[in-house]
Amino acid sequence: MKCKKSLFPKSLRLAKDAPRGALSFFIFHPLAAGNAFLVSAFTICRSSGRILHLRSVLLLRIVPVYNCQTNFSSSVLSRTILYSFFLFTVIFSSASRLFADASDDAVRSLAKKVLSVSQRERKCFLSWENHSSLSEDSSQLLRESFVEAFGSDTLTLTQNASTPVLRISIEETVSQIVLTARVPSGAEEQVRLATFPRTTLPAATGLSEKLRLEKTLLWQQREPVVAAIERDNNDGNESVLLVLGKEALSLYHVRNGAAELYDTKRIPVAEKPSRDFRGDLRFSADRPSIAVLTLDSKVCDMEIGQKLTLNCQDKSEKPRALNVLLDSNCNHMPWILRSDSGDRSVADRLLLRSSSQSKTDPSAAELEMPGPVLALSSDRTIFNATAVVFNLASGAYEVYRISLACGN
Amino acid sequence: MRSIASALLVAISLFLGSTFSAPFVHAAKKPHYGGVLRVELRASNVSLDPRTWKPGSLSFGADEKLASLLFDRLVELDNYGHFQPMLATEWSHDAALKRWQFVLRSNVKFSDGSLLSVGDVVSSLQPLLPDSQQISSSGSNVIIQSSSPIPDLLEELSSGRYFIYRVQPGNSLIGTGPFVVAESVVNSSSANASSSSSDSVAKSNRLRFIANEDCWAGRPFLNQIDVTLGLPPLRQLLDLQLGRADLIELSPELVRRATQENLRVWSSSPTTLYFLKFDDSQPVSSDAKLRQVFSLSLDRSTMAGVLLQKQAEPASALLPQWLSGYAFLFTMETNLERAKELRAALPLNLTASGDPLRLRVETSGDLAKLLGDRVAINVRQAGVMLQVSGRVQRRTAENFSATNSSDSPVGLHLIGWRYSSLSPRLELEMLSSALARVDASPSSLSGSDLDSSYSAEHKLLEEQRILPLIALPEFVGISSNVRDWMPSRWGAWHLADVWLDTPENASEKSINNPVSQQQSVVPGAKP
Repeated sequence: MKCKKSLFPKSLRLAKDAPRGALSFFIFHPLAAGNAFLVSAFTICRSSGRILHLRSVLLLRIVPVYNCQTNFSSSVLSRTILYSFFLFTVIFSSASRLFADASDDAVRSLAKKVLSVSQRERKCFLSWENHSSLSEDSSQLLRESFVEAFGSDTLTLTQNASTPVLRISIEETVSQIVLTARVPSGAEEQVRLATFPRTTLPAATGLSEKLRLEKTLLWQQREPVVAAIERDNNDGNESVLLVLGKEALSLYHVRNGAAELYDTKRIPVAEKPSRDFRGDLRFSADRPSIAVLTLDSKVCDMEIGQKLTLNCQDKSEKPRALNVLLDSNCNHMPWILRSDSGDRSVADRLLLRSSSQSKTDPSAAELEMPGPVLALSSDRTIFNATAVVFNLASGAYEVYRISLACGN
Repeated sequence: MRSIASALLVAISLFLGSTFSAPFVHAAKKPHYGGVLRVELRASNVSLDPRTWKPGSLSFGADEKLASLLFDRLVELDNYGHFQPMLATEWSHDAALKRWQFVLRSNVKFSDGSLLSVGDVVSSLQPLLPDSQQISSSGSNVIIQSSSPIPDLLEELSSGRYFIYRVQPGNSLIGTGPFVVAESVVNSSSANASSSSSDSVAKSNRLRFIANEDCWAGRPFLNQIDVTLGLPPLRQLLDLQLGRADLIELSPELVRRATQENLRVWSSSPTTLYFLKFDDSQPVSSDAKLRQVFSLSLDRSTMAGVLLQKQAEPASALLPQWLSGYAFLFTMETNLERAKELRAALPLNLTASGDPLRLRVETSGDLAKLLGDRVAINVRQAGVMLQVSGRVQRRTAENFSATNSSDSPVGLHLIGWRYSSLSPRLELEMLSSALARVDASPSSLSGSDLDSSYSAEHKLLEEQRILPLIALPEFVGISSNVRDWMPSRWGAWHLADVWLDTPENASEKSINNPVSQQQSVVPGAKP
């Protein structure tokens, strides 16, 4: 396909207006209607260190003049993929580069400040902690930059009582990432600080690029499922699954993705039937073979083996909120997994946030569910969570294993 | 095939668009225009004139929240750490960070229809900026020049008093914000006073804001915001429960109750610091050991955990972690045994007259009084007698440490300080400047970087003349029909983006809101 009309003059005008030192990107992607282009011009200014300030976004609807008829579908498809790839490459690689520049400057500045501390201990052990939303990979990259700038010969690899500790901590404020250094200096510690803007973090990728929520269907049934919990048997091949219905509790063993029923026990029925029947399952924190079932006005302990043995007492406990702790093998950080709590006619998403993030912060990873999430629980190892979902498309109640995956 | 390709393209475009606009998309319902948001506040009076606000005063929060309905700033900080263009569309600075240039958004109108000019920006900010910063205009640009680097100017301008306004004849102010003041009513007077300006609302019990149809950022969703002032916390909670209010200020002691009753509760990051300040004009405060006794005997965890039912945080620093990033480096030890030992080494009568030491609670409200009483209990356990008294007249943060000659000598002051700036440097400068009225605390920092702020704060705290107690967040009770409640963690409410999910809105949309289709597609659109 050949187009007579050039789109560049308009784009160049934008570039000319951009301030010095700015990076401008012009992305052309075909409009869905097939007879126009959307031109997006992004100008990224390195203004006051607020690097990803989007100076101008121009959306132009330009009708191109074609002098040839082409097979729209195939060409548009290929162009779409190409342009989309281009867009992602341009935006995210630029963001990453800007982040690297800003953070590297800060790290080197901090190393310089630490080195200039008078009466500094000559050799010390480096303790590096990340309390910010920076990903662990990025944190480790910063650590490497710091060691390089600081000089590895002044650092020891092992910590013992006689080795002074140089403590570096990455913190976060509303606008900055703050690097704090506590430098051993005689009997005291000196504090040195360096900052770089939060905006230089690649947008919502610092965490989510490396973390992914995955779901595995464990069980489904037509009858309502109120709660479910899975526990790994530590051998990696088999797990125990408890499924709470409105009238019974069932014990399954899951092997190679197939669940086999081992036992079912009727649960104590409330005097008054409720449309909003709630129950909660969890494993005992101190006794791994004991599970606890919480109903409206009863709490039952049960031994998990081949069979179920329920021991119930009258007790009133509030059901837990729809969020659980989840641990990650990727970075060994505790995460909070919760549903976005839509109403029951709308499919939910599971959202992953670090404990330091507020509810208004973007989540580190998200997972679309096929319906509203009715219950969430996690076992004592908290490497997996179990979600009960009402599948809006099929009308079945489904139990999913939710796990955190590393890498892309 | 063509339809599949088109669908794919639409999907990709939408995805790409959403990547750069909003991380969360509310698929369930679309925003509605219309409705009246009923807000209830504890403050019995507010000032909508930023020039009159005192940094650190507890009323600052309410003043700022309501003023943000009327006025805009040059820039705004979002929840993701990005500075968003508001009345300024672009900004740049020189290499030394001493000269900043802002390009003003064109065709922005004040609520009276007149155009915003660079002159308005200069005359707005001139009286508000620190003495070290000079503002001027050049063409359509605004220049801020400083003798020292100001790397945090954007943080400074996106918070606190730095609103853009125009002074009208009669000293009233108008702004470019999403709402205008329609009416202010004084309940105590039989003759209701109505006004459309913002100067005479300070003594009003009720304020009515109506949507600014011509707001540059788009008309707000709400038709109107009715604010009732001076309501006690329990009454506010009752009103929320009974559906007579949509947004209330929750006091910390009512948060647990509200949560247990399944009310929507939002809390900010800590926004108010309570601390003790020794009065350096009194000889007793010069005793370092006595100050150490106080420091070691204060049980901040109990104050935060029991007295405030875990709704506050024990404070060891002057600036909170979310603002400075280094607050965790400060620790305050509680060691009653050591405090007793130190007390035993002090004279039996700490004051020359033999009277007990006096702590004056400088901040109004029951919470400050409770904290004062708790401090007295803590130090009594270490063997120090402390008499707590309240101020007869409420003092502002500006003069809290000034001792009236007619008052009897006071050894300590208990002070509440409301954070108002997003710049740690400026916040600390304002705080130390307020403290410096009676002693030699540093009123300005030696540099503009975070190291200087840390050093200044360390210096303020190391002599233990100032003892942080607790840091308290703000709590808001929200009715279930309030949608898109997306406040900042530092307490900005963003009511222009809020909409009400009520059945009446559907009919009101066609009757009262002749908004364009484009507005409903891009609600509350911002640049």
